[in-house]
Amino acid sequence: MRRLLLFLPFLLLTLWAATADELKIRIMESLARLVTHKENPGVYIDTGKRFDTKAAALSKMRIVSSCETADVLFTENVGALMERCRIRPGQLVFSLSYRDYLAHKERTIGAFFWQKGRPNIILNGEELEKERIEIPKRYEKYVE
Amino acid sequence: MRISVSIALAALLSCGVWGSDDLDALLGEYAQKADLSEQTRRESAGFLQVYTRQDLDRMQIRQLKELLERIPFFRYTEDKYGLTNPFYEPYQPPVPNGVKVYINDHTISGVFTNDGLRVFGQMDMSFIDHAEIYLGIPSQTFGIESAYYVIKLYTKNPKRENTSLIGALLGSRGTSEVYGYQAGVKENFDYLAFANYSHLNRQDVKAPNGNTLHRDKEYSTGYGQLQSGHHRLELQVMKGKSDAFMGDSPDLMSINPDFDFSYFYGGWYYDNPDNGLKAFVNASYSVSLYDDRTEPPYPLGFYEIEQPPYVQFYYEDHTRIEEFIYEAQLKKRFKYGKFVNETGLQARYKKFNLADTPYPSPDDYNAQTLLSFFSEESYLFDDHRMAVASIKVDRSIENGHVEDSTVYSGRVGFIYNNGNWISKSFLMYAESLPVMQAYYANRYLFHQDEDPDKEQGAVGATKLIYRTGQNEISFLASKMFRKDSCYFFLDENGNGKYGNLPDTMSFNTFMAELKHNFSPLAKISLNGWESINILRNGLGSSKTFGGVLSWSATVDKLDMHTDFIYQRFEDLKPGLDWNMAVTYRYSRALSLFLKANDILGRALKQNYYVYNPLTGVTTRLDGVDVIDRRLWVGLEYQF
Repeated sequence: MRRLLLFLPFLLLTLWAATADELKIRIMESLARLVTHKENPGVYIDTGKRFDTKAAALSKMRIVSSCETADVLFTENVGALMERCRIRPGQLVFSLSYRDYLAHKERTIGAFFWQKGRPNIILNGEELEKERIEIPKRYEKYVE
Repeated sequence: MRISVSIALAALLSCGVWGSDDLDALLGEYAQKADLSEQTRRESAGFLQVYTRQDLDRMQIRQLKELLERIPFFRYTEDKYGLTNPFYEPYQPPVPNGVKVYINDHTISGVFTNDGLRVFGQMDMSFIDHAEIYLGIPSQTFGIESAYYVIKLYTKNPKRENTSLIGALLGSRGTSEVYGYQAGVKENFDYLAFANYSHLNRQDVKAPNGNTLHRDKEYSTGYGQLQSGHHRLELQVMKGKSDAFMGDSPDLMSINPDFDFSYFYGGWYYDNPDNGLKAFVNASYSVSLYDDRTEPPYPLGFYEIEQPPYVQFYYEDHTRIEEFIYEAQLKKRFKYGKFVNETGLQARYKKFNLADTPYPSPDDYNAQTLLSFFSEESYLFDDHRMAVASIKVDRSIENGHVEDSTVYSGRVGFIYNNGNWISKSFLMYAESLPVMQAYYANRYLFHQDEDPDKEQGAVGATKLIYRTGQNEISFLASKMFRKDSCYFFLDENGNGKYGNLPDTMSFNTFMAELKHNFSPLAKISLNGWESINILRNGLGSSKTFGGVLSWSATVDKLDMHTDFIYQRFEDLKPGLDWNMAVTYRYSRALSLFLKANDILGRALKQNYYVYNPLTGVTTRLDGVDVIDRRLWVGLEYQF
């Protein structure tokens, strides 16, 4: 408990110092770790070159440049990604758009998007079960 | 008692820090850092107070008027018609440059009184994302007609909304509201469509003479926005019916006076951040129908005539007033080396038509054309220091026999920011012209030959802020002078007249503020202010005090907010307004609301009086609640 008390102010201070883009990347990083249970998963970000480059510079994640080698893929357009890349079993796709997520729900593990002025996270319950991914209890509220 | 205090304190601390896990904290912090106010706020434009989307959501701000009482040095009041009018004093002309409200780049303005708050004070805020409040003659680049307070409201960003929702609220005294909006992105277009209907039932006021005064309001609003690339189209329609409270009777004997009004607005906006070019053209039209009547022997009003009996009484008023505003602006941002310049031109044409007045209403004065040139230059010495200077010239071209005028305003400032210490100091000067209603009334109601002259205001102000990761402490001090203020008084013949006060008035103001963030999801803030007003002109000096203690937090599915607003003004019983709001997000689709305004029933009240010059009788109406004590429950559903 004492260690937790010592750690939390540090966590908060680091949070306050971060920029919006850094925080977005850290959320993606947390999601990738959450669904892969890997410490350093390979992540492919398909959101436009400027953000990808920034993410690569800021992140401690292993950003991969090819969708083939990624463990987790983030995209705003699942349909286009599926056409471009052959997603193999075990690769997990997050959508960055709610509309896109609804359109490709059966092929995505979750979504991270803005709705009603708030950033939202959804974890797709059916896909989690299909992929046999266990989620800590405290994140079950994100499962739909 | 000690145990309950300890539990409350533990809850206060725990809900923010220990109640959230890291993904929750990251999401909360991301929502704050990515808030749209981070993109729109202009620290160099003045002393700024920001209400983010998260703040407005937690506070459940439903009407613009709810924000007004939280502004330092400001007092929420309503005029004799029960309409929002923060600078209202019986019989005094509207303050021309008190406050300006913008929705995005569009100024909400009336023609006759120059004040948009009277109608827009009750405007539903559900389509507003965040609000910025600039204090003390902010940047001249906001455009025509300077103001001491600028409130900038920004509409919701369709890219951040991606939803269709409806909401409904029920409030005490039979108040109700339904609203809904759809916002999202379709191919190359971002769109936002909003509509609402509200029926605000307010407590009647019993006048000392037994007359019952009503203040209910019924509003319907539609707002639409379509954006593609650098272009944006905006449309707004508002229709309403409002009881007119005291009406115009000089004996407080008006029988159910009311307004019916309609407002239509459309505008095209261009904004290209790559080349710094901004432009807009917009137009608005409004029409108000005022109905008021009294029964003999109490006339509603009178006017002078040349033959005996020299005074003509009237007992009914069905005035119709139409107002037109056409506006265009072109603004360009230049960057060269360490200099940034923003220069613009703006034109505004305003016209009103009065019809069916119970008194003769000449129409040779009914239009004003305003032309404005403004420029702001900022110089960045290094990463920590910046100097800024701006100037604006407004030319006012009047029709009728009112003289054309030129007014100037300007501002110099210095900003230092090393991340922890921030200081902002400004010297500001602004001239402003009386509103059209003052010219009109002076000529045609008071039959005076001389028009009131322009007013001058000067402010020197400095603010020092110390920021650490989770705390912010600040202190603001300012001195303001107002010269030649437009005022109503009686001339040597005992006739009413709008003129200028001979002595300069001064206002010394101070404010201290403390903010603490328990976590990205919980915060507390406290501010206290004092204004020492040296009014001269035969008016006594006064001191006013105020402060706001506010706490808000998100715990799991609950958003909570509470605040205490204390205000003490001369000649009024001090006001303490306790508000509370709780939102329960049952699911991502469904939210439930509970909100209570003025829980203690002790919010600041307003004193009114009317005076009948023929009988010499003054009728007072003291201690009227202008802030409603109300409980709201509601729900919101997203599709």
